[in-house]
Amino acid sequence: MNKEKAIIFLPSLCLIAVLVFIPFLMLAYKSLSVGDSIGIANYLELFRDSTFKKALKNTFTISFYVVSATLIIGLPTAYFISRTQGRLKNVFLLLILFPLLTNAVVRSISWMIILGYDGILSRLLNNLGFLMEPISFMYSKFAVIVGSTYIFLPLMIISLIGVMDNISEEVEDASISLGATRFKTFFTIIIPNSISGIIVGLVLVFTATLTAYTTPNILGGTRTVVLATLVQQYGTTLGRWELVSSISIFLFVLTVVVITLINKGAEAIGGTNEKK
Amino acid sequence: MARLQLNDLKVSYDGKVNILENYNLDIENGKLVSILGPSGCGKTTTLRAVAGFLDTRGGKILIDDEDYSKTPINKRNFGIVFQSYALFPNMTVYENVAYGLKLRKVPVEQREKQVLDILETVEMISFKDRKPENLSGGQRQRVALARALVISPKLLLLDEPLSNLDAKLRIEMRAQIKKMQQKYKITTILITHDQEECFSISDKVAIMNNGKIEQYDTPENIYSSPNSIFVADFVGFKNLLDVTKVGNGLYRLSNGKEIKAEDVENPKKIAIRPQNIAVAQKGESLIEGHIKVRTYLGDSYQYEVDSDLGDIVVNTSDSIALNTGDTIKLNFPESEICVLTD
Amino acid sequence: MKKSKILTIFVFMVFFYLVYPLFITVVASFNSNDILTFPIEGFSLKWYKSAFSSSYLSGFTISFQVGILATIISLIFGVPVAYGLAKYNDKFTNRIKNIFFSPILIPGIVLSYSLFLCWVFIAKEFDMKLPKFFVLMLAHIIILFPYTIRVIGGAFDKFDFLIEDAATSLGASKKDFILHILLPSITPAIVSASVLSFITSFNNIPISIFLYGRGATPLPIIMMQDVEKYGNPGVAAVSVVLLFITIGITFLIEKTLGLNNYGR
Ligand SMILES: Nc1ncnc2c1ncn2[C@@H]1O[C@H](COP(=O)(O)OP(=O)(O)O)[C@@H](O)[C@H]1O
Ligand SMILES: [Mg+2]
Repeated sequence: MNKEKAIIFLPSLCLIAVLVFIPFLMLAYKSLSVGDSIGIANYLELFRDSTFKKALKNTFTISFYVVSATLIIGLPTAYFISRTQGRLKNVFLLLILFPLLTNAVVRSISWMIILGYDGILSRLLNNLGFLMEPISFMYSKFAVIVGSTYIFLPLMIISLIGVMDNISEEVEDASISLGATRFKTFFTIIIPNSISGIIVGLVLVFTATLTAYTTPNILGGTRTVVLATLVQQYGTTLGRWELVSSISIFLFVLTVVVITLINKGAEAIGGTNEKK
Repeated sequence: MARLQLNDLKVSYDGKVNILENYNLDIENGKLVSILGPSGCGKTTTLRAVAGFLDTRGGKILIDDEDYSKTPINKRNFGIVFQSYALFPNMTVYENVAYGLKLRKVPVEQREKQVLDILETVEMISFKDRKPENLSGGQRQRVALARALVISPKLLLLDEPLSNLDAKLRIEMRAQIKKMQQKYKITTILITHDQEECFSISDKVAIMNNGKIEQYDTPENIYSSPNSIFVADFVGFKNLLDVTKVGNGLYRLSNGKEIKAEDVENPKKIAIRPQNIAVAQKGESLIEGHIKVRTYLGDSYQYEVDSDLGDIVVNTSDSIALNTGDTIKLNFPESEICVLTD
Repeated sequence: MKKSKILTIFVFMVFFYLVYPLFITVVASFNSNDILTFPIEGFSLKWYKSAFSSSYLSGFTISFQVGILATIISLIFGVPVAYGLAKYNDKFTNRIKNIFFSPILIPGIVLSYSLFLCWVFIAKEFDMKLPKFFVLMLAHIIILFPYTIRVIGGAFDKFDFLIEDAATSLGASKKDFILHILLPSITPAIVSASVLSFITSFNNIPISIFLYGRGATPLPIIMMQDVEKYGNPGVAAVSVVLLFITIGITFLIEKTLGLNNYGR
């Protein structure tokens, strides 16, 4: 019995130990080493660093908007798809899943065209009379938010469709027969019964945005820095290696804390993921 | 409190094939009518059309002479009990029942009183704070019933409400349904494919086949005098035999023997239930055959008899069992024969 | 099921939001001008020529090789683990489960950096420079491993382990059971895990940030650098080529496995 378990699990445990735990410990050690001694000087330095503070603030602002936007857009969309039947549903799912299969550069460059100087959005606003001269929206928080929402929306929708498919249409019918409108039913029946999917979606999108590198790098550049792009910029471009390790550890801790908080919050309102 | 009339109802899912056509049904105020029929015959379709989940393509749904066929579902005020119960998983028993009243903006105190009252009636008061996932099938059923009734609906519509329960609970729950229906004197349609279930509690039964009502009558009349071969077969006339008419009230069977029965023009078949066939001890008999299969039914034996009329099924309450291969003589008592024209 | 008009309009706007940018990319890739614009100035295929330039092609080769190798290795490690996690439901197993899923918790760029530190350490202490391609592949294995376990685990969760007893009672050895029953019954999951893993590896950027080097730069990194540097339509052309490859793969998944196996 135990021999079988060992054969099954031991190789992978070694794999994880060598490729994840040891490097991670090395990283943690590095973040605590100052010259030849050990201490938290790097972290203190980090929290005095104004670029870091800005990046932290940007990361949270962007994550907040992206999470809200994906949820608000995702709920009705997922509901619509979940209540579609047959081939059409597959077509919709395909449209949702497809962007997930392409890399973030592919998905971001069109936003450069839309948001760039004298780009599609700028011209549109010009024509509508909101703008007098062409401008660029690139490298702003707005650009990163719009692009990230675009990229992470499918994650939210897929998580939501999963639970909404399990809400029987009879339950909705029951609500309507008792006098509720469809609109009301959506808020009193569909959303409360989708909590577990909402939680999964929130965790996925929040952590994805928190740690996203590619989209903020392309659409935010050096002007709108977030934590993940700061890791790279302080490392390869600016050579402030002593801070890179501590930002990395900080980003990891932040991710874990956010996941834990969302799940704790979910438990508190009774929307845990277990299904009976 | 309402009389329901379905006039020439026409319903289709795809706009091409009509599942229901020229569908008529008249239910008097406060009566419980069952719609009974085989799977796929259109029972659910009928109920969903009445409830408003399906648009009708023609005809009227009259409640006390007012046409409801264009009224939005949420304005119809019908109580519906779904096959899956369809309780709201996110709400407690109490909240489930209170939901309809909340939507009607019934003041809190009155709402509470009404909800507790009806939970008391269905004996679910002690479970009021539970979530549906922590209830048994029978308990969910009670909550579903309470939720549908608390809004004082014009109609109560039940789609196979008992099919997910075990045999014992079914009997208990159908009594409960009848009790509630009478207490609130509410016009009710019950859908079922279980004959015993509907005969026991219905004022009238509509037997459906292929989107049409074959017979609409009291359970007693349907039980004793089915008006078609389909109905006879459906309500347990296991023996259906071809006949030709040879005189007034006189019919010839396919083996050449003649029998007497009620006089009917253009008869096609006669029908008789297994338990109404008489076993002849000696002398003349209508049928002679030998036993192919014997089944013990608890209070009687059932034999499948191979005869010159084909297979005949007969029940006898004799305590002495006959064996496979034994010869048996049978007679059809005149009063138990039902003559059918189509 | 009747759906409200407002909802339908809303959802079609969402689909527009999801599809329109891809459409723009396709159009922009045919621009005869040297910058990314829409609408385009004139039609030209010149960017497609650049899409097949040597730097993109070598990036493609690297990404392809890394993706294939990482997928295979993570399957070799992942399938037994998925089997074990589904079969044993004791305390010990549940505890080590978290270990196997732990890479998910670590942001890709952090993993990348930590592996880079190891690389530097080994180079310094042992005077041994591990090949960049090798390290890149190790990093991608780590990214894929949790997904592999999850997808394969989904198939094992539906597997009735009494079948193993049944097979043994019929005289099957452990090896017979694995080869004749276990693996064939999870083949669809292995196929979807492979496709999913390969695509994930092929598209992942953060995990490679600190690890690529000369002769070992994955395609998306090259694309990203080009976008940062010039923003020319060449990247759009590469994107379009990738889009069409992806459409082909998606179509294949949908035909062979059905969408419902995907994305869960
Ligand atoms: N959603 C639907 N779309 C198309 N046809 C349907 C649908 N639901 C039922 N039908 C068809 O309508 C007929 C009656 O079905 P139904 O009313 O559900 O039967 P019952 O409830 O008596 O078993 C069947 O032939 C069935 O195939
Ligand atoms: Mg039905």
